[in-house]
Amino acid sequence: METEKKNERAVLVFCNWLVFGLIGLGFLLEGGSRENFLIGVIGIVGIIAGFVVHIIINHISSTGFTMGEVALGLALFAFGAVTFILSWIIGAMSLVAFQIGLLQLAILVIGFLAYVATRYGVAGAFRKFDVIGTSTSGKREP
Amino acid sequence: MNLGPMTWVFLFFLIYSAIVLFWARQASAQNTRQFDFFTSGKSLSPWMSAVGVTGASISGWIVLGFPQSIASQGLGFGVLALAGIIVPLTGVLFFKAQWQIATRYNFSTQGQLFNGYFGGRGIGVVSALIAVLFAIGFSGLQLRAIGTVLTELSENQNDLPVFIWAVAALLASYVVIGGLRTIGYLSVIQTVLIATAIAGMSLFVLIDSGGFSSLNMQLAALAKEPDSIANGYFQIAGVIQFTAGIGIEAPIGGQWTAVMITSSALALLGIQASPMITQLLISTRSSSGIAAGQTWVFSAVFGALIIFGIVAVGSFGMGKEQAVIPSLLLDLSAQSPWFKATIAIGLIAAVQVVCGLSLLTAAHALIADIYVPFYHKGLPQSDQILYGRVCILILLIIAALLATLSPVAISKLGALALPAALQLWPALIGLCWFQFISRQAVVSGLMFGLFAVLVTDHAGIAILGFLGLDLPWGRFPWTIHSAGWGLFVNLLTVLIISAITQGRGHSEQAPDIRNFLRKHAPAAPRSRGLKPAAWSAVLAWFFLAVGPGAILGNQAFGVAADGPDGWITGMPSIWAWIMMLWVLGVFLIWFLSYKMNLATSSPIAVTALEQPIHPPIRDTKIQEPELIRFLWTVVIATAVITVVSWVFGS
Repeated sequence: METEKKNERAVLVFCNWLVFGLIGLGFLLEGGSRENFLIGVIGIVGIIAGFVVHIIINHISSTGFTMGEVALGLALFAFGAVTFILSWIIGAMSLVAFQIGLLQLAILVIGFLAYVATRYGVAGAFRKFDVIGTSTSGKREP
Repeated sequence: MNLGPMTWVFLFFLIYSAIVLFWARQASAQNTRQFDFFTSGKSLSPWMSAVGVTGASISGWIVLGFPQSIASQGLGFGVLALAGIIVPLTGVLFFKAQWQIATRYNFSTQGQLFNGYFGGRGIGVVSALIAVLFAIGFSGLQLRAIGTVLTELSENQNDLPVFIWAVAALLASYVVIGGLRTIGYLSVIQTVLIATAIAGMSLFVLIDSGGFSSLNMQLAALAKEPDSIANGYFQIAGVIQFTAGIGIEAPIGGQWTAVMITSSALALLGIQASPMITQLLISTRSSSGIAAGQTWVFSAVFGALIIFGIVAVGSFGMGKEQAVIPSLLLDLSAQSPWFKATIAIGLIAAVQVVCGLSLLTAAHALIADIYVPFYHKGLPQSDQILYGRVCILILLIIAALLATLSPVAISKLGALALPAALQLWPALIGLCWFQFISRQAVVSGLMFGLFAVLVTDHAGIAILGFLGLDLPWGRFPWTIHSAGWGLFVNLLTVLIISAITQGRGHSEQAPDIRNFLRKHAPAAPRSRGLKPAAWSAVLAWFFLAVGPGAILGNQAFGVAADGPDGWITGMPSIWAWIMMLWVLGVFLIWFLSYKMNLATSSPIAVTALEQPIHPPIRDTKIQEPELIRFLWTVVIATAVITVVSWVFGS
């Protein structure tokens, strides 16, 4: 039954990202290709809606993000950031596309920080990433 | 293949394939017991089942078929967009009792449900054959439809077989690997994709035509053309026309008379009476999702998508020569290929959701209801699954071959599926509600009903023509759909034979099943007057929505030819009429489901019997005499058909 519940949650997560992810991505690309900032912002709102629904699903199933989801999310974020930076460096991006990309990355970073801060507290969130100050046993050194 | 215009579709299809195969693997890992393959161990979540039933009921048949039919036949056909209310009505009436009986007595196919209650094996065989009709005819038709759309998008007519077989190959992989559990998981994802595709298409229709008012201005311009009335674009063509049928005598003002709409609505009732929907239903661990699924997911959400979205897309295509969905997607190609790809994946999902379920159901029914009881009693579970997997592949290959090579045959076969499934209604009424209906009556009714369907539809007329018997009528004589003819003959037979065979038409377990159902019967409504009021409301709704009363919709909100100035609601009267009846219909489904307790789960828990009532297994050998007798029957029948067609055929 435990596996069944995990799968049910995963199905919901897939549905969420298939809808909001694809729509968000579509509007981001549309905004870039038409050089229309407003359409790009709709795409960003789509991606944010995807995150919000994902968090609601987590709340309903009393879980957090799984390791796989975090890994995939970070990988996609890194891929998006690298693509954005490379496109900017080689000058393959219009001004509007640049603005949309920058806004998207900024919102993702701020949203991520806000999420961990509200979930674990500011100090707790810092400790999650404080590799140097944390021993291998997971306890803070004196 | 011309990949240029298809790059985004190809990319999204790869992502979709990865998701599908991921879930096939997950489900396969979870299928720890052998019988999990066909029924997911009856552990499917109720909400998944609710969403999946909705998706499979809508499928590519409504998403791809309805817009084109509205575009070519007008808003007379558009009345059937009330499918969001008509289709779930079957579920509201029959799902709960079917689930309760299947769970209590451990039945795993629709055929076993019928055989367990009525006795004998005949109804199970017919149910299995209808499942095969869905797997080959209905699925093949939808494979052809999606192949055609993708071919139009690729702008290369030679790509049709590639697309049909690509969709079929993906389908085969996940159904064969994970069985019903994969279908259950994926049906949710596919249903969400269907909703996205419908919403996306309607949004782009509105953008393309410049908004809802502009779309109606275009319709108004079309309504002023003299041909629009003759084509039946904006009105129902009378109550009935006593014509000889399509192919011989065309009805005046289009074929969509009120009676044609009523009888086609009956065909819509067939989808949730089909073995495939029962299969998904009885693989669910609880009946708690039925009421919410039928009321909110189907009637409210998808009902709205159909009545606004599908009708808008169809209306957009009225008066145009090109097929509506491909031309819409081609318009999107240049500017927004990513949105075109998103919608295309939604359309593929719409086809796969029904194909996967119908293939698995047919394979299971062939094994459990025909092969094992007649030819190989005691076949081990592991072998049943192996044979089932082989069956799935064979059925899919036949469907895909017919879709690729014989579009005419597949459209004739596909058209039979819904009217044929509707013929199971009397059996379901007998099983769930009325003890009066006997086995002999159901079997005879099925035979006569299916025969009536056959001789009033394309397939039967073509078969009889092949044998040299040219019928004096065409398809749908008197503008009555074959489903209507079939059900009329079926019910008449059932009533007469039941009256004759009272007291000897049920299995030994039937009284026990009847007592069990009585114990779990819906709680009586608080007010005594509620029951007659509910059934009066159902009849009134049917009369006004899809019965002769629908003709009031022609002018209720303005005359079609007057244009927006005369249209009270700013849209064609018939469209406004069905929107109004959709709202009333949602209320009706809610009332029946929740207030009449027809679909809410019983407060008494249903527990499975420790000793299921399946017939005892006599031996484990293949029954050679039966098999030889069957083969001889096939050989003789083929010989007779060949000789008759050679002597009399044209």
